[in-house]
Amino acid sequence: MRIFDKPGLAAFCLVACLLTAFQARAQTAPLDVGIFPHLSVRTLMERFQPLRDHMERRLQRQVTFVTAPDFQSFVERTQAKQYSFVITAPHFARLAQLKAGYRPLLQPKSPMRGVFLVSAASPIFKLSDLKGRKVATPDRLAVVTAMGEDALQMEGVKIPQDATLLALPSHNAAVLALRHGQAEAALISELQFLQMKAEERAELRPIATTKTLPMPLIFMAGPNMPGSEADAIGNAILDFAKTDEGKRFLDMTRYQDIEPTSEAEMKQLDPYLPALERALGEKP
Amino acid sequence: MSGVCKWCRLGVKILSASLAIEVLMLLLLLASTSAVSNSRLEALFHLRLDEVGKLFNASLSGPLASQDLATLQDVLDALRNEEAISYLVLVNNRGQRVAASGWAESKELPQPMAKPVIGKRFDASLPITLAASHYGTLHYGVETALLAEAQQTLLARGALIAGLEVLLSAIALSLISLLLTRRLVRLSEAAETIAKGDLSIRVPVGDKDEVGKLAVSFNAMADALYARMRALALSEEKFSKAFSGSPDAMIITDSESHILDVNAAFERIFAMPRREALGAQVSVLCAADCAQALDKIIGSPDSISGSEIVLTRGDGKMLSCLISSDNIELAGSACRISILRDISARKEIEAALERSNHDLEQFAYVSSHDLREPLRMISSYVSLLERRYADKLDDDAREFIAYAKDGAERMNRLILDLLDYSRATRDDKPFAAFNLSSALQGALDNMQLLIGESQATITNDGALPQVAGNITQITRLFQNLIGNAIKYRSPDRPLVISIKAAPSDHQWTISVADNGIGIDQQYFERIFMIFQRLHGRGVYEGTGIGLAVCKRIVEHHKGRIWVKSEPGVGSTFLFTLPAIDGTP
Repeated sequence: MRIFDKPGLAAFCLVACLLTAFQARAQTAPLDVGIFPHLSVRTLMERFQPLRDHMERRLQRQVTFVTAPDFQSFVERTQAKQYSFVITAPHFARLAQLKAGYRPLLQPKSPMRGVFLVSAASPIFKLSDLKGRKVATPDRLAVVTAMGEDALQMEGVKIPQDATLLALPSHNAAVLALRHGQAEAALISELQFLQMKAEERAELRPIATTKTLPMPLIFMAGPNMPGSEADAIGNAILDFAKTDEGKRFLDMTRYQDIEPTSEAEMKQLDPYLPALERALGEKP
Repeated sequence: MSGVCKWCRLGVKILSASLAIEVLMLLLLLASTSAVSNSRLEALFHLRLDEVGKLFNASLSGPLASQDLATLQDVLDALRNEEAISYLVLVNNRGQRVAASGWAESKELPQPMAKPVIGKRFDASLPITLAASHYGTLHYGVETALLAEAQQTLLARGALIAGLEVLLSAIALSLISLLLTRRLVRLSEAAETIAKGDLSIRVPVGDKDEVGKLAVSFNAMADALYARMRALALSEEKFSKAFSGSPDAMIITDSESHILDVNAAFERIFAMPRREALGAQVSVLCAADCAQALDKIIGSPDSISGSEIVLTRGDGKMLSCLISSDNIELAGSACRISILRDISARKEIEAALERSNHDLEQFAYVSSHDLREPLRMISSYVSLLERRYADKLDDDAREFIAYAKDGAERMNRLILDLLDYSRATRDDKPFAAFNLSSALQGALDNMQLLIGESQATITNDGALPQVAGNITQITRLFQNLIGNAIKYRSPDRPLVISIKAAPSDHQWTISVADNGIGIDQQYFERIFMIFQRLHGRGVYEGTGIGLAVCKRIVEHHKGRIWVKSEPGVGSTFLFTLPAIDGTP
């Protein structure tokens, strides 16, 4: 059976050539990597700079990490497929996977949970003490915020009746609010807490943690990214974890290692999607 | 100050030179300051740009990395300032304009400039980076009007300060120049006054600075000049009076023996008007036979004193002159001044005296010779009377006869001595050169017996010189002086007679020294007079004619004789004889 006649074969070859050329061009074009704004922009970019530098060297293409002013914008841009590659929060990743066709590739090995922090000299020792208090949190769309709200409810502290959540753009903004007295407690990722300097950590005291997620973030290929390109990027990231620079990065971020993401782990994020989609539908 | 042009004045020169240098230096300073300030302004501008760039980057990198266009636009609008930042355009790393302020969307962006041009907008670009990642480029325009204004203000103030400095310097220098030149002008005017002949002017010294020192020196110079001029005037007056009022003729000649000037006495003595003499050769004053002698005197490089010469007057009459000549310098030229004394009258008197002396000598000789004949007759007859009638006469008569005989003998002695004195210089043989040693030896030979008896020692240190004269008379001279020394020798010591000769001015001085009894100073003149005796006839024999004869001989040879003596020590008789050709 002849699958292609002569004109068909010619057309197939032309399309194949064009695709190959397109892929080749795409794999040398600048790569914009969207990273969710869980830290202030400068801290975020400086923290991920070793990874970006490694990717540029490895992929032989310009790599630019971009972010968004807030989680809402980031999620919207992600859903609008503006990013060809994203590093995003787990529940954002699940939403992007399911709604926008992003493909989860890799994740840090360390799990992630939220931690409630108060000043070292604070009279607050447990979550129930937060009644009538103000708690600084990252963006209201952050999974940590959602897990923290669950933790508070489980301790009988209803939001917004018993305590006020002060949503700030990032984790370090929440810590700063605690330090400057804008809030009596702060809720941030434990990993972010561990990444802080020892003297800064000494001024703070954890009083409670949230439930644990299997990963702090997920590396995802955009829906339009060819598989080979996604593989190349994924390999570059995995390779980064084996370098000295990468090890220092993983040590500093407490990510331990980077490994492929499994669908099973992705499914563990589903419970957070309804609330996320609800929040996205609300005006901030 | 008269005679000095306005622009040649020292003060004007100092002022002009100082101001010119100051203006030049100020211009250089201004140019240098301007260049340095421009450089500094440019450096500050770039420094400010760097600082602004960091702020721009810090403000824009986050929103750009977050792709927060609204924030970017807000930031650009906030950063824009019409006076400093005229526009801002942010282009992402895809080349898309993501925000702009003060720049039309469709307007093409200008090329960034390498260096600012003061007064024009400076177009710059700034890469926006975050964590070493390039997110875009900010294009912006910086207005430099403030820089231009600052530069102009700096220049204007610099020019104003420079102008004020020049003005103040001009005033200060004018005052200094005025103070300085006023004193110099005084000095100059004083110098002009002195140049006009008024040596009495002096300048005030004032301050003890350099000009004051100059004034002191000037006054010292004026004092010295005054003294010199006064001395010169006095000297000139004396010379003029001596020259014009001299009874002797005086002539001044140049090195070629041309007559430069003569005095009034010259005109009178030489019967020659001054105007004829001036410029003429000095040989006009003599006949051909004496021209060479006169030229030798006038042209001599040495001083000539008292040379006799016969010259010719303007009317042709002959004139005996005593000429003295010496070198002088007039107005820097070597000249010679000569004094001509008219000795014609004296020569005539000398000639007459010579004749008279000759006649007197002749008379004395003849008289002496003739007087001896009757004296011999008296002496003969007194002796005859004594011999024939002595026994017939009493003692008184015989004593009288003895007195008469002694008187006749003494008179004979006196006549013989007088005859001897008159004949002393009668030998008219012309003077000839001979050696004094010959004359001395002749005298010693003649006195050999007397010298032997007196046991005298006669020394002669060195050879005696050649002289011109009459050897017979000089032999007699030595004979008389040595005889005198023997006669008046001291009984207390052996007689030593020393004879020496020493050269003196154009002559020889011969000394005959002894260690005899000596002579008291009061008799130094008297002993040379005829028939003058210092001792009685009973002590020393003689009539007192010997030294008179010596004097006559020496004077016959144009010489002089005198004595130095100390009683009890000895005497030295000295006499001069002319040297041959005037050179001893």
